Amino acid sequence: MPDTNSVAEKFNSNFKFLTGFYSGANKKLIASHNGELTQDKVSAIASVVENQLELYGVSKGAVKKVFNIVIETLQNILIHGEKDERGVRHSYFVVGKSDNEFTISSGNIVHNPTVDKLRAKLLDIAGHDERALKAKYMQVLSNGEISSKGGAGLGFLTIALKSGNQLNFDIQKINDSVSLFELHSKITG
Amino acid sequence: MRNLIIPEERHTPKVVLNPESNTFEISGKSFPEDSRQFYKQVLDWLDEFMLTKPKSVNFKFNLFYLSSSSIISIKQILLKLKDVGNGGADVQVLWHFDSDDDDIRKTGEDYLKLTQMNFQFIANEE
Repeated sequence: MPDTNSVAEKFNSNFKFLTGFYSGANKKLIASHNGELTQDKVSAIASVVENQLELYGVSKGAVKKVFNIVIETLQNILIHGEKDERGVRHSYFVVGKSDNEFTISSGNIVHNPTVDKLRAKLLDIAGHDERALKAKYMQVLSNGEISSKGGAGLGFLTIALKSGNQLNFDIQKINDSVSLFELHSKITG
Repeated sequence: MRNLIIPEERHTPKVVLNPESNTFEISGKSFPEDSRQFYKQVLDWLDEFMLTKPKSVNFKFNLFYLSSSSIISIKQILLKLKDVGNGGADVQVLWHFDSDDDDIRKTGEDYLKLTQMNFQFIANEE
């Protein structure tokens, strides 16, 4: 019988680690969310981030980039975040400031059979320089359709482009069914 | 031909499609949870509109944020407009952007490259 508590435990412990990181010197927690996500929460969180960044005097261009990445990251969770065996769609989201660098982090469940494909997709993006990323983006834009889930395959590419390919990820197996997919992107303010 | 008027909401733009007053506009921000569902009504309306054999369409886009899936939807709308043009109408795309917003301007340029339609780029002054 799969131990679902270990899923909740893993998510909570990662979330705690991330939020705890931003209590250090020259660091600030800008926004955080742990639990089920809805579209209304997406816009609420994005507004909080936008307002906070403006308070810190971050340039308009950087605020826009962060806002973009926040929406794409959150909508990625909404569209692709899976449920555990108890039907709980665990996820977390953290935006933090470290000196003048902003990091946007997220965690969601992915089913184990999809892990290899996901890893390959992100490694492929990581291997592209800016020009190649833009070319790939134009290609997907040209051929792209919207899937039945509501996604268009442009999410990770958009995050990569906005962050100057400052995109890191980690996939940790939790049990025989599910893994935790964590994504981090950085913007310099 | 009925009008399609959708007021701006939290995650979706204002849409005004009114052939009688010659107003065609999509403005605001676009990040619906399901772009396909939201923009289907626009695409369906354009299908109907095409059958009325319009003479000219000046379509204004004044968007200040587009999520990645919305970007595909807007592309689909532009291609539909292109079909309207192929049916004999004079179609102009009026692509507005804030003068300090490179992203939206560049997205317009991407669309121009992709669709090869008649685009006018109009900077909104502050």
